[in-house]
Amino acid sequence: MEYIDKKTIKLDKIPTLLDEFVIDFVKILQKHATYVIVSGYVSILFGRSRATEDVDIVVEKMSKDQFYELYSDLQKNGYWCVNIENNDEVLRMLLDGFTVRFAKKPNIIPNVEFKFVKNSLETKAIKTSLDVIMSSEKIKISNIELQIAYKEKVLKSDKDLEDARHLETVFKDRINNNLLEKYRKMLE
Amino acid sequence: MKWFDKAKNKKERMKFVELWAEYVRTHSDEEWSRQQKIVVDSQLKNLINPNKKFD
Repeated sequence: MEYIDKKTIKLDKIPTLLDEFVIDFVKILQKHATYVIVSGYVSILFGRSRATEDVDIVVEKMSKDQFYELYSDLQKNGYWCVNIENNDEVLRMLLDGFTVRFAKKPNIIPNVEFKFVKNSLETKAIKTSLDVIMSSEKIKISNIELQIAYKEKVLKSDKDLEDARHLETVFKDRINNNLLEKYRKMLE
Repeated sequence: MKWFDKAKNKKERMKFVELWAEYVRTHSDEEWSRQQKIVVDSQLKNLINPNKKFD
């Protein structure tokens, strides 16, 4: 793992099937939208020894045209929306604050749990995202301090606490402790 | 008799998480990711198709 600059990390890992799935999806998504990957996959990307069935991605709100261009591109590349049958419903569900899940046909898992930004924390996650370069591709992830605090103070399951501890240990020489404490207090 | 000590198990799991994370921190990406890939790929394959035997 190498820091290219404050906002860019280069990973020379051997990609897992999950990494390959994420890279493939993000290659399409980034042509159409501003996004950030949050939650469990961030820990897995940096070595957590577990898989997940879904990858959480927060996306800045898109116009109807922008969204359907993305949706069409995803469909052309073999993706389908696994939790909504009617194509016209997908955008409405997103605008109503629900998540929609995209997987590669004919699979249901792994899938991307896709949602539009709906609060200031998610906006912050997008604005303060980090770039990770892996297999010559770039993906955007939430900053590490925010991930740790969110898992510790909001999600709090055993799995989330382990994810938080993993990130805190892996990044112990790089974490901004003042920022981490600030997020912890904010989320308490 | 207590058959399963949940609190103890949780503590031991967390210890292992720290041990593995320390390994990730102090070893090359190639070294840790080669091991991670075995775990993640097999878990994912089992999730996708729990009845199929994979090589």
